[in-house]
Amino acid sequence: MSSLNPELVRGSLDLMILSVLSDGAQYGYLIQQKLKAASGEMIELKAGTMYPILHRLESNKLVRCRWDESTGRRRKWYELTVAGKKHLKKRVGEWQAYVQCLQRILGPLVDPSPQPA
Amino acid sequence: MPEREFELYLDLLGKLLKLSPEQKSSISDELRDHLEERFEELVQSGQSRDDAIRQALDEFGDAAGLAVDFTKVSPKKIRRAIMRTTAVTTAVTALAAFLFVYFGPGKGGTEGPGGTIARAEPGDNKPVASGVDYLADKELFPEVLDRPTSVDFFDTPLSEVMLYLSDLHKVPIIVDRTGLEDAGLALDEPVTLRAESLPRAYFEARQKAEQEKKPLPPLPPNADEVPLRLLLDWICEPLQLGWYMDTGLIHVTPRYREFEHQIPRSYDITGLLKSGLEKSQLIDLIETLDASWSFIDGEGGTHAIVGNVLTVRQNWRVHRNIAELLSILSSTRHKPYRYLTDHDRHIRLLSQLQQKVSVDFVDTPLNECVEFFADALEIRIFIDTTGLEDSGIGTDEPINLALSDVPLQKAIAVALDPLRLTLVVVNGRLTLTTIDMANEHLHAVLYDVSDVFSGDDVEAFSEAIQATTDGWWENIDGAGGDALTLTDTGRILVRQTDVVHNLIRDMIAWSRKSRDVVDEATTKAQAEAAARLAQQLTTRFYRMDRDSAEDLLSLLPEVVAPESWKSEANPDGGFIRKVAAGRRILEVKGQVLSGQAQLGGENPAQNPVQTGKKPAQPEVPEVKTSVVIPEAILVIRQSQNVHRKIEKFLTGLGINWNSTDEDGKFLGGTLLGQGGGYF
Repeated sequence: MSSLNPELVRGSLDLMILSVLSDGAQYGYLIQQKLKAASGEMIELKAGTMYPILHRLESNKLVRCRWDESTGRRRKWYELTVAGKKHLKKRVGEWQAYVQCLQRILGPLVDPSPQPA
Repeated sequence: MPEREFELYLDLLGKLLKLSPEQKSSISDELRDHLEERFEELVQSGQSRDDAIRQALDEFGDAAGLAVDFTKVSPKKIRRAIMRTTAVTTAVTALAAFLFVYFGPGKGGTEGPGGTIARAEPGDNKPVASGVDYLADKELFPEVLDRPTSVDFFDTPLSEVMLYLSDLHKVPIIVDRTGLEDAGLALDEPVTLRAESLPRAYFEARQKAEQEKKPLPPLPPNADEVPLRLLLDWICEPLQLGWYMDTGLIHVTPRYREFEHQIPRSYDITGLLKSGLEKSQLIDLIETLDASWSFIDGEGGTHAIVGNVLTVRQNWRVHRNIAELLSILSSTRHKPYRYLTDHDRHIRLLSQLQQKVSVDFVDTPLNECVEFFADALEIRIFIDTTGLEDSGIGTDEPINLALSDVPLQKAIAVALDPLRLTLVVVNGRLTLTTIDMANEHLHAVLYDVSDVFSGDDVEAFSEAIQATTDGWWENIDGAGGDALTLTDTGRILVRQTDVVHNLIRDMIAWSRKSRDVVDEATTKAQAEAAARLAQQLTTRFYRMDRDSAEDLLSLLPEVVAPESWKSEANPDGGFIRKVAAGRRILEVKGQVLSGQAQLGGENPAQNPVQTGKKPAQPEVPEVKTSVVIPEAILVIRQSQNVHRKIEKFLTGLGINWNSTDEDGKFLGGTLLGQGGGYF
């Protein structure tokens, strides 16, 4: 985590991973790289953090897995379930509402075009 | 192609996970895929194989942390698989130790969200049972840390030392390899450490064996063994390393990391609060300890008291000090003073310093002098060579000293003071070091002076200590020791050098002695005054009926304290006179038909005498009678003691009397109505 407050990030990791998966099925390493790219290198999720989250999402049936051996070694692919897609949509909605609410409260303090530090 | 190192890592992880074989192999496969991908990427970007492997593993984090997270996630809800390494065989422990050493957490460390061993799980942080012993917390202070250990390392590589200890006590030791390398240390850094307090015979046998190239004699069975935690301190210190305990694992890291590694912990202080300790006092005490607190120093730990629970976030060492402090505060036995850390050991070492020794050094090198002392008194002295070097003093510094039969402490002081060196207890062993170093190693001692001082005097004594002892005090000099008073219980926590502690103990002893003297004097004076008072003659007026007075005039001096009355032999004795005192008229109601009126007779129920009238008879008309009783006053001049005896006598006789003093103040008696009422 380069320059974002880890406290803020921690709460939304699930959401970030689910949203990456909305692009289609991916495997762990790929998810990690995509997250890094999509966030402009602000989010560098450590494997030790990510895999436990993925496993939890799996046991909560928000993602499903399948194994593939086309590369020569066993590779685990994750994709969103229907429940996962619904969950993602709901969480995104929650976040939007939250952000708007916060913007209203912070009002003039918010820089209209915030840039990463 | 699967890399061997990854397999070892995954293998270890598998052993630490308590999951079904399918789950284990599934996780292994997934992580292997990730590691290999990353490895390939790194190699393609130009890194060497070894570097790529190390980086891939570093980014992953250490197996232990990962295992904790995975087992949390396991639907079987198996927690703390890491604690069950005791179930793992020695071989695997050794392997694990090796692997931990090799794959130690990298620069990224295990900090951050997820994967932190140090993170306490909610609900795991149960407050320590409120007993006297806060050190009984098995998670933070497992018994293994106190296990006595005898070692004999001579230029032994650090990794071997750790393997040996880990194997000996069946406890995993994680060495932060990257941290070591950052500090410029290698895993094979030589460690020299010998077991403590071995008898001279052993040294001689050992020397002989070394000279004759024979195998060394085994350590004698009663060799003084050192608790593992002290041993770790002694190993780590010269290498600028530190160590801490967390979730059942010993971590060896660079010293700064030891301080920075914070652990949250809750302490149940119900008992302490009940005993009268106030929350604010407890906070003050904790802040007196040697620790950094974020709200004071800007960085460090935090503490908070909510209800009956004290929650502290600090490094391991501070937690241990806090547990020691709380235990001592809880103790109900009165101990005049108590070193917070390893009291018994500390006292034993201090007594070693008092042993008498005779020396005759002529340009004798310093280390030979030390050897001489160690041999002569059969004690072990550690020379802080780093500290000496920093001061430009070599261990071959020539010493000149001729003294006979003086305590070791004095001999050292005379010989070494000019060199600004001293011999003090540091971390459980006698250490020869610079005076500046000694001033940095302050000892916390809790003094109980409740038997000597009370109330404001306790605080006054605390201030007196700071004003008169020859030490550095924060309150006065801006740096140095500190003293905190618990007025209600007469206790003072002092953090200072042993030189000052000795002075404090002397001051308490003097105060105790002089208090005894003062007490004696006071009691004596009081007793004398009381005696004098008792012997002083005072005049009292005893009022009673005239007949009794008449009789008593002669009776009293014969019966009550006969020797105290005036006589030829006792011209200063008491005397007794009778004075007529008019009459008293008593209104008597009731059916007194015969006999005399009862004195004090407003109580006709006392002795109604009935005639032969039948009870069925309707009431006999009430009679109101006035009875006239002549009274007299006995004027008696006697000592208080005798007056008391007279009172007892009169009451025993059953007559009614009362007495007043010279001012008319009523003193006692059974006669109703005011005394001295003339009519």
